[in-house]
Amino acid sequence: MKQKQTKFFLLASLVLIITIAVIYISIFRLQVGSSVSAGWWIKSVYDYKEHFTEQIKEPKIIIASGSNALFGVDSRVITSITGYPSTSLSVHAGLNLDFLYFKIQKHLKQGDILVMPLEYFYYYNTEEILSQWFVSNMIAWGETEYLDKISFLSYLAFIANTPKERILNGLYHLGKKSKLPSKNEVMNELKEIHNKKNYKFYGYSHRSLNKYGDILAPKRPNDVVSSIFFNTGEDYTTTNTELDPAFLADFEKIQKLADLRGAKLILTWPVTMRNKLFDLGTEPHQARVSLLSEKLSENGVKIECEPGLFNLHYKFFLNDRYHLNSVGANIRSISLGNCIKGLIENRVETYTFESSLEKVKALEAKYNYGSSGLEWKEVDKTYSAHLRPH
Amino acid sequence: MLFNSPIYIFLFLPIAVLIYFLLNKHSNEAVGKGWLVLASLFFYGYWNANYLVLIIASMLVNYAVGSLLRKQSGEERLEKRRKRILILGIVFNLSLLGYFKYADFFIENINLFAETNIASLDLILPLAISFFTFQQIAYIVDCYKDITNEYDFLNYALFVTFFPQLIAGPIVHHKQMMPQFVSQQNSLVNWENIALGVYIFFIGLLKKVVIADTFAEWANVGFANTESLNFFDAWGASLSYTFQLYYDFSGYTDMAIGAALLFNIRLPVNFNSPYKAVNIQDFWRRWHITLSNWLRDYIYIPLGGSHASKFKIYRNIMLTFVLGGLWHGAGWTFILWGVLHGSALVIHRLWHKTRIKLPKVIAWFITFQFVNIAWIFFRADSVSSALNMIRAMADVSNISISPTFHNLIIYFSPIHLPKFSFVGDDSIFSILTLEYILIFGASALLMPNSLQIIRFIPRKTKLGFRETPLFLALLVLMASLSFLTFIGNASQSEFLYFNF
Repeated sequence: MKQKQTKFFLLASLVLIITIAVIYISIFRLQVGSSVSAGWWIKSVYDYKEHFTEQIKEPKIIIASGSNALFGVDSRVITSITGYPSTSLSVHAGLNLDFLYFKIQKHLKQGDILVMPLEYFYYYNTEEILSQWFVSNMIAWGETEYLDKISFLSYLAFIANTPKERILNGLYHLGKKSKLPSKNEVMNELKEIHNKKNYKFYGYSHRSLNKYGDILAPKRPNDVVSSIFFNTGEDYTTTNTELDPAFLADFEKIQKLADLRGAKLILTWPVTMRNKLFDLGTEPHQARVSLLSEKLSENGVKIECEPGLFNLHYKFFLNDRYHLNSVGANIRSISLGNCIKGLIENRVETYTFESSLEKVKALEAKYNYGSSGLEWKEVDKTYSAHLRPH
Repeated sequence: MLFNSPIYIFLFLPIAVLIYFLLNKHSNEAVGKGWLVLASLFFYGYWNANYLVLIIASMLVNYAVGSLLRKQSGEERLEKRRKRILILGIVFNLSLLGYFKYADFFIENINLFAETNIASLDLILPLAISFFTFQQIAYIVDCYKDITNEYDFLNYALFVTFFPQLIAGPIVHHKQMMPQFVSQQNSLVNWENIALGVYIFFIGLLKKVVIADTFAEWANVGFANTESLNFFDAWGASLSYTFQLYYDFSGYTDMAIGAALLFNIRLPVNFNSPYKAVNIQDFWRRWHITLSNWLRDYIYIPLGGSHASKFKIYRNIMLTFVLGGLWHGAGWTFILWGVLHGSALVIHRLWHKTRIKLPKVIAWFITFQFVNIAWIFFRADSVSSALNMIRAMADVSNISISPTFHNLIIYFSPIHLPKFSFVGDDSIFSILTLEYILIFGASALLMPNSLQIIRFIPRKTKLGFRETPLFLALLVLMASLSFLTFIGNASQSEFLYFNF
């Protein structure tokens, strides 16, 4: 009798705890997509970028990372140098690698070249499994992009990482008008902007995208840039030398995808700001970057090109240590384009930190305020030849 | 793997229990025990697999020493050799502990006093080393005294590695554990133990994630800024740490006891409402009881204990507590904490001789305040930081309260009060801090403790666990509150005693 009572007690506890968990999950699901404040612009930017990518016939170059490639890559320059039409699926480094995987797998085809200039923090172990920014954004606009595609266990882990306050906020905003323009609205608006041919920078907005899905921001006055960037940027790399196991697992997944689809994967360095706190001409920073390269190599991951080629003077930056202005994007794209071309043609060009910095400094001097020197009409021809017929 | 992590609660623990009983049912007990040892080693290696070598080597050496000592017992001509073996065994254990835990502390101090420049070793302290080393020293000492039974290696391995108590105790004694490991009755599922185990486990989880981790926020801020604390902030931070430590460590112990009960193993009592103590001796009979017992049996008594001259007794007390302080960590703050407690016990002995009895409330207040002040040394990063906090706690001229707090006092005051002149910015000592200190302080002082609730410690209480709807509701409430608290916190916080 006593044993029966005890078993009932345990069973009832279990059932009640599971019931409460189910109620909690239901509440979570209910508020997914509600119009809380989040990085809604990212979704619209992806809408356009993916639309643009879908128009390109393979083989193509896809650049996928965080915002260092949204602001720091001019796809036309890459196209001009490599002869491959180039597109970028890079928007925000707060989106984790697993999310990038979902984006890449929608567009990667046979013969494509996937270039990943990942920001440094993608590599390192952080306390946070999922950042609260990422969680909040996925709940806001990532339902069909991400949440619906992850496994049940990952979904539960996702719920466990969502702050209760965020769920309450979601419930509070339930039923309010969505902050997200429809995909059609985004396309129409950008079509109109691109037809006017007078490109304007609208900040963090899909309206800042050019025809090729890049944001090429204007150069800011030198004194403003100096005041912001002269002393920032030291924390690109970290003294924590352990690679994040989640990075290695996700990267392996992307590598397998590339192999399966017959595509080439190139992992490379992000852009960095050269100032007195981070200068790849100096030994301590070279050592930290080299250490990352070694750690990756120990885990069977090769990182291509020279990091010094992307270590640009701070005056080529916009508003963040990873965000270049249009002149910086041009210089970076030339270096990146040449590197990709070398890898495609199996030409191995080795640089030291010093020689790569000399090269980038020469580019900085050449394009300081001027244009890229490329014939855009020729570039458009390359794209046109690869665009799908409507 | 932390006791308060989903992977432990939802995966590791249920799988370990399920497979253990399945193996016991379908094969012999040794297989079940073998599984438990493997599961425990996995649990230990989950943090850092490299240290598995250390715990396994320590276990093998101590078992060999113990076996040798037992084999040679009873033969007088081998007595000297046995003593040498024992000394070698103790030296081996202390060397491990010394190398990993104290080497850098000694290097640091040699550099400081001899003005040398010896490079520190920068070793990562292997988890649980203080606990499994002490348990095994006790074992080989008892083998030498010939008061152990013949244990096979599997039972011994389980005694050392049993995961519920492996990381932060309670420090178990072979005499308590071995009979339980060999009992056939314990290899069968016992639903009552499971219900009791689940209940105490969730009490512990609640203590940790709802109470201790909240106190930790205030304590951490306070102890990180001791040079700029005002009077209330300093009291808020020190009391927060005092309660954090209790709820954290006793919460851990409750979870350990609960997990062990699922396997029908009863771990020893480690806490018995320590903040109810009315003198310092009483405190040490209630706080970290298994450590106190170990220090008494293996340091204090071998030093001569209370059967010596007055001076020697006091010396023995001081030595025991300085070593107890050092056991917690290699640092002057821990040594000072030990000195403070040793001195308090000496004073208590002297006071006891006067036969003057203080009213209970006053005795309690003095004891609690002493313990609270001593914890400051235990927690602070340095002696100067501890002194800063104590200074701030005594500096009544530096009073500043948060605006919210001030407005509430004015609002609820039965008489009209003028606006206070000492309203500052938002401080550590918020309304919530006060509420937590009052509610959970009172609970630690007035309520029956968790072990009384599950009747590990006898006490007449209506809160004694029974399988009734009320306790069902309480269990579900505790579980839900705990899970809700760690939802949204990407990483679970470690238990404080993991550092020791």
